[in-house]
Amino acid sequence: MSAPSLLLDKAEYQHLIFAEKPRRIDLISSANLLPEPVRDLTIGVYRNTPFEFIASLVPPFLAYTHKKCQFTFSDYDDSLSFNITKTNDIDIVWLDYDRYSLPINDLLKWLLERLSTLRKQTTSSILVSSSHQNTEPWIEFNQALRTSLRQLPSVYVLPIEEVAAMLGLGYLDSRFSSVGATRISDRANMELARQFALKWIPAALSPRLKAIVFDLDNTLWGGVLGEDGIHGLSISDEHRQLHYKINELANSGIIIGLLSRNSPDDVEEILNSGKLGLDHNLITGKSIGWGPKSDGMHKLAEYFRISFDSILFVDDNPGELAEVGIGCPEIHLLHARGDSKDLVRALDLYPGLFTWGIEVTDRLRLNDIIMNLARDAAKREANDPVLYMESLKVCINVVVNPTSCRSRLHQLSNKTNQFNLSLSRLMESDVSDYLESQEKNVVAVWLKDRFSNSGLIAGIFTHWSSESLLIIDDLCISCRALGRNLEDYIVLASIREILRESSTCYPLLSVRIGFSYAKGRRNEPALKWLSRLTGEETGDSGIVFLDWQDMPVNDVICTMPIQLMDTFPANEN
Amino acid sequence: MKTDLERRVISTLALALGPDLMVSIESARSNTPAWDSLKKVEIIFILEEEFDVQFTESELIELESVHSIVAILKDHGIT
Repeated sequence: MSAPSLLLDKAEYQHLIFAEKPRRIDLISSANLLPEPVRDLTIGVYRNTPFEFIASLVPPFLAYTHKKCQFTFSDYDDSLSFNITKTNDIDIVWLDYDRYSLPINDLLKWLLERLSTLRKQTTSSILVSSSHQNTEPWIEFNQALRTSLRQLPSVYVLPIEEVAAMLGLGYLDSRFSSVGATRISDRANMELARQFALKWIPAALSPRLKAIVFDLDNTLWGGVLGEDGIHGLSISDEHRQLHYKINELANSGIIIGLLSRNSPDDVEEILNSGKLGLDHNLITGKSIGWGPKSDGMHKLAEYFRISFDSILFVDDNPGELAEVGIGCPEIHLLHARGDSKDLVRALDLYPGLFTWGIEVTDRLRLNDIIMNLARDAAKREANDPVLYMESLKVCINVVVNPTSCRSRLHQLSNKTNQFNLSLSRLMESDVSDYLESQEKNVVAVWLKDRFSNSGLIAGIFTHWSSESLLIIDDLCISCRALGRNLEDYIVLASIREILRESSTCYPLLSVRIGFSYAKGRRNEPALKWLSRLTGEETGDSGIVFLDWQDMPVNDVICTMPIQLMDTFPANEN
Repeated sequence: MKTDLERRVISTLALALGPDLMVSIESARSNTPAWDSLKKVEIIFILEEEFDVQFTESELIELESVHSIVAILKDHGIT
């Protein structure tokens, strides 16, 4: 199948899966529309109530994400005895809480103990159902469950109560209690399957998408700006609901871009006109002109400093989608067909946009992109690199084994592409191990300058191979921190901090540092940096060694005008 | 000769039971191993969707064969 053909088939399929009320018959009939999925997920289900009616609907939705799955079901077990026979990609704990007669607090305590046990027995991502009820005491139960489970890595509470609220009385259907031992309606089965496949499973396995780029004509409004003029466009209430959705996504940390074949002046005029519900201050980048859209997308990706596979492009024109899809490999594409209500729903469901919680760092990323322009201007004005660095007023905080930063360190390991030495993609449980183990350490690095506070931007994961050999298992620096020539400083300051912490355990004389690396598709910047630091060429994978005493520690750390602290930044815990 | 309704019910069941199974006017839970209790519920979901009906609780129990499905659909005014 050719790439354009696949793109167009996927555009056709999306309208089945993003429909207001998807139909079983349509999903079954369209099973062969997309190519055979490439990745097979194993999903274990521990339950006290049927999950099969949801599971049977997951595959056609999951196919949209190029995956298929195999479910294994436990017996119906109220006690959650967890007879683990293998490690799955995902484990689901699916409970009908009405089956328990325990007081709520006792139920919560018991469930947390069971989930802690499951966490110790498997490294999979664990998804736990909340209560579907939107009344007390279940509201408090769900909140307490979410709060308590933040202590456990890679355990997520499914927002079942939100699905139940969306469907109202249609969530339950008591007719099937005797026939199918289930009270969940078919409408609810369908919606739950869709949410599992398109939102919850992708959010448990992969990093969030970073940006959405929108076409304008017949996407954000009805009509063509260049032909109809600003007053001839159709901007309905439904269009405005779409604009509010975009604002919401921007406020949750998604970079918003615009890509359109239009006159830049016309676009500025309508963005500033007040006619749109879109907050134009939330638009991070625009590429408006008459060249191919793929060229415009290249410019936006470079400006955002992100790769195509982190971007979703939305356009009403299948031909434009295909052109961008071919010119920007691995970019995500969404066809804006139908009315704006359909597009709002698709944006709510699109795989990779859902997040278990809005990370502060997502918002910081937007600010950094904007401030890069100011930094570039400062660099041009200051001819001397030292003067430039002084003008930035950089402050770096380096902390060893900050247990409160487990989630962010996990995110760095999985989301960093360009400056990621060994691409380990650690699980949250692995990060916990680095934080707690005697022989392992992880350093977290925060960065701010006079333009912006970039937050936690680097994680260096290490272990002591012997008394005098420290191995850097992985080194991840967020792309937001690049471009200020701080990589040497960050790494050397971090290693120095680990050596200081370890000085009571190991003598520091003759310490060697080994940098593990693996060549990936996009981490050439990290490998080039390593070659420059060590003077050695890198292959496909391996370890490069350097004696600590040979590293330019004094040259870098002592001479650069940077404020270095070994404590948490203010307002961090 | 099969009626239109019988043909529709058979093709709907064929979709539910999968392409490897031959569904006929005589198909029933008793002679179709793949038509187990879980599949029965899925079949009910698909029938309600395809024919835009809502079966009663007592009708759900009776939906065990092509013949019974056709008869109950006729009771709902489907022809």
